[in-house]
Amino acid sequence: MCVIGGGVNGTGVARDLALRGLRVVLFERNDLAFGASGNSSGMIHGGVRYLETNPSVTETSCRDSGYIQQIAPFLLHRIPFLMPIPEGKKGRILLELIDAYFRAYDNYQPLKHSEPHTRISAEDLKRLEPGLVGENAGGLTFDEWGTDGARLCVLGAIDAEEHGAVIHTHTTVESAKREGDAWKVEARDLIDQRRHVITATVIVNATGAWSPITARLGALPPERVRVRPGKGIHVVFDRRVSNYGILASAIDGRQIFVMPWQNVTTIGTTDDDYFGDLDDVVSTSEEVRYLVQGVARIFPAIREARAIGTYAGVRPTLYAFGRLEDKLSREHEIVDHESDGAPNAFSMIGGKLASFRLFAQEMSDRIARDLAPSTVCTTHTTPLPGGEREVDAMQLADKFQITPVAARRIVFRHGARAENVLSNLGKTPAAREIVCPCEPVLGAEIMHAVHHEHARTVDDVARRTRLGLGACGGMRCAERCGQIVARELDLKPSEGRAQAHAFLVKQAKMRAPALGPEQARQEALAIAAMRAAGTE
Amino acid sequence: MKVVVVGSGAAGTAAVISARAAGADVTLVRGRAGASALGSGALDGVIDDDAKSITSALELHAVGACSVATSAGTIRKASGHDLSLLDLDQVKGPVLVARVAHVAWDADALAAAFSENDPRAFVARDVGIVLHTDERAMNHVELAARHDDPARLSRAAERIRSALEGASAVLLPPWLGAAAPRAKELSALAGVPCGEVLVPIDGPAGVRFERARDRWLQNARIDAKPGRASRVSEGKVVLESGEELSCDAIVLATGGVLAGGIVYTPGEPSTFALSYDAPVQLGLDGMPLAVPGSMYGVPPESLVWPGGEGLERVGIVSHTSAIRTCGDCASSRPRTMLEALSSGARVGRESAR
Repeated sequence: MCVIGGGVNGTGVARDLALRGLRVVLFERNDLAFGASGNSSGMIHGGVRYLETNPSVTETSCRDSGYIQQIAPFLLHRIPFLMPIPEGKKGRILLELIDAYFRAYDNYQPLKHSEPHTRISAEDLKRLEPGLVGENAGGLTFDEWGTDGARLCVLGAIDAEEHGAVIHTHTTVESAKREGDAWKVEARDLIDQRRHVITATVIVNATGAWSPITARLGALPPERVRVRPGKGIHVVFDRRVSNYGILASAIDGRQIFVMPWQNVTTIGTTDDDYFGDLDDVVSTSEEVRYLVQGVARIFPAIREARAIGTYAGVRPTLYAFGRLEDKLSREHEIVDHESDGAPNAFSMIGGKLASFRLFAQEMSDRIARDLAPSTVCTTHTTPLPGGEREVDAMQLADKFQITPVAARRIVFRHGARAENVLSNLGKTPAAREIVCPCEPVLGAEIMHAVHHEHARTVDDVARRTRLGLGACGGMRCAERCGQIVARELDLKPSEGRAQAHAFLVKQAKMRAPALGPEQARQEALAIAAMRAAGTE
Repeated sequence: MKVVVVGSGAAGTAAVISARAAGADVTLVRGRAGASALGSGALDGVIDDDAKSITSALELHAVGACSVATSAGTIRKASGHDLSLLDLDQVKGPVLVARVAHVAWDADALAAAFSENDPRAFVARDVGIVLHTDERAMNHVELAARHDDPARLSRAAERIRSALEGASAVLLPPWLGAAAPRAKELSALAGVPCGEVLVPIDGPAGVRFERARDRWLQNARIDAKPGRASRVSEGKVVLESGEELSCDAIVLATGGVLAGGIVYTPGEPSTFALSYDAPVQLGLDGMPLAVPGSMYGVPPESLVWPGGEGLERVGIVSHTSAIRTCGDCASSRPRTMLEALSSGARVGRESAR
């Protein structure tokens, strides 16, 4: 089985097939979770907004959210949301309508172990979130689950690997050809230029927004896997600035939000047709203003908060012409290329983070129907690596003599495997070092990411650990992380430095559109530091 | 002449020193720490007589072309350096990189990085100068302060001597003095040149600058007012406390964006502003800032690293004989310590006339 793409769909299907005992090779052109999977809102939500147009999306999202909690409970955190309903001519009626709407949503809540919604008064709204301004008719509460999309991909890939799969990151497929009854796939490692040639019975194109490009490499008609790439950005603030997630409206009436997520606050998201380079998606200050303006209307404190960066991704939405971005279907679809004269070639189009596991199951069932009919899907019952049992972060902190904050964050990312990460502590003095103080990230976790999670660059480490994504923008840790990556991978020290530099440039580019007064001083400091180190 | 200097970083200090040397009656308004307090200890740019006069007054730097090793693993050229940094141009043979028990110091990684592109051999060996377990995670500046103690320094020299094994110089973490640079003393005790690696932002070089400045101000009995200026006009400086200072000439040395002298506010048509009232104009690259064609001001993407460095290019463009500017708050000057010293010295001298 050859799976192309290391996002949630690719790693999901690789894991599913590997768990069924099939032999899998996965190629990822950039890094695991490089695209939409690692740049989403980071929510396994129930898809409340699809209830009106696509209730089946809501149901599958909720059901799958429940499964993900079973297999990786450590990787989820509850985000309670407030939805203020503004006072006005129709405020009361709107409140009734939305209340009823959420009553319908409540039917699905048990599937994802969430609380049913509640209706609260304007006074309670104000009491729960004193930062809210404006007169409200009342409001609603509901809850969703926050997660880390990059971790889901990485853990999926690791589990696949532990069940026999082979994972190649930074390896781009250059061609896929039919040879006899099989596919011959040629790929090239973009870092060390090594070539891989494999023979596969089945080939799965799980490359999200890149799908048409990938199809062309296999001489498949790209219009059969057409997506409508929708760019979405988020702005990240340096701490939790609200107690709850809050829904707000943007100037065009679109729903946007501000929410506490992991140890930061994010606001999101935009949805705009994208026609640019998928390997280099950047935010703009206009997009940032659109979001900040919308949120500030009801939560003005956001203007005073310190934005430390942005991130951007491109949704692989199903193609349709002549519809507004928001009205596009979030459903997923499997394209069987048999009718294109290419048997045993499939493309996975569309999909959402919240229902990725289900999509992977559908794809794997389709493949297994012909090739391994006796197998069944077990991805919803088999724990992801780390989900085998619960671990207590405080006990871990005590046992390994690390700070409780670091222990908590390691447990969030690694679950029960946190012990494996920390078993590196004694190996070198650098393992105990708090390399990234913002997150925090210990040297031991970097080593673990390099040796057990396919991290090959500083940027890869950041995706897995959130190193360098805090308030200092990597100034304190990128160089050091580069040194550690270079040493662990036997690279030249200058290669580690070059990786660190590339990471810092990328982060600076993503921070720039959200620059505020305090961050401006930090930027000036970064410029001075680069100059002082002679690495400008 | 009565001169008021606003700002006590490198530029302000240089202005005070040269105005006093020219016979002026100088008052210094001392704000908070800025870019100079975060300095790395490297001097970049061209050294002129103005800069030289200040470095000799402060007794903090060696001037002249040199090469310093950085904690980022690079070796880079500079026009001068804090006396505690090791000048590799003066070293021929193998260099010992001290391996010490500290979480922010990886001698082996540094030695490997320096050796990659440099003909000198860099070797890491244990040098037991961390004496207590609490020091293993202590910040550099505090450890530097501990080495102000002569007993501690001679103990370090002993440890270095026993680890030398033929090394002709020793690179150490940035711990060689907070009150003053101690590398010279240590080198004499150890018998070989010893010095620090440059740390880009949180090393002790900035603290040493502050201490050297304070020593000079005290010896010269300069009237130094704590606090910030809130309003500046010809012949008068009003402090945030309400106190008013009258004078014949004013020197603005209030720093750029990094120090807080210039404030960047997105979403305002006047994206950049001084952090106090003054009858001066801001500009970019020496030209007055134009009104942007956007209600949201200048797009930040065009200003910051990488690509643009607008944050550093904005500064005061208007000059009169009553209000002069120097250092980072002046437009189109390189944001370096040397430029601050040189422009401060020149402006201080002019103001005293």
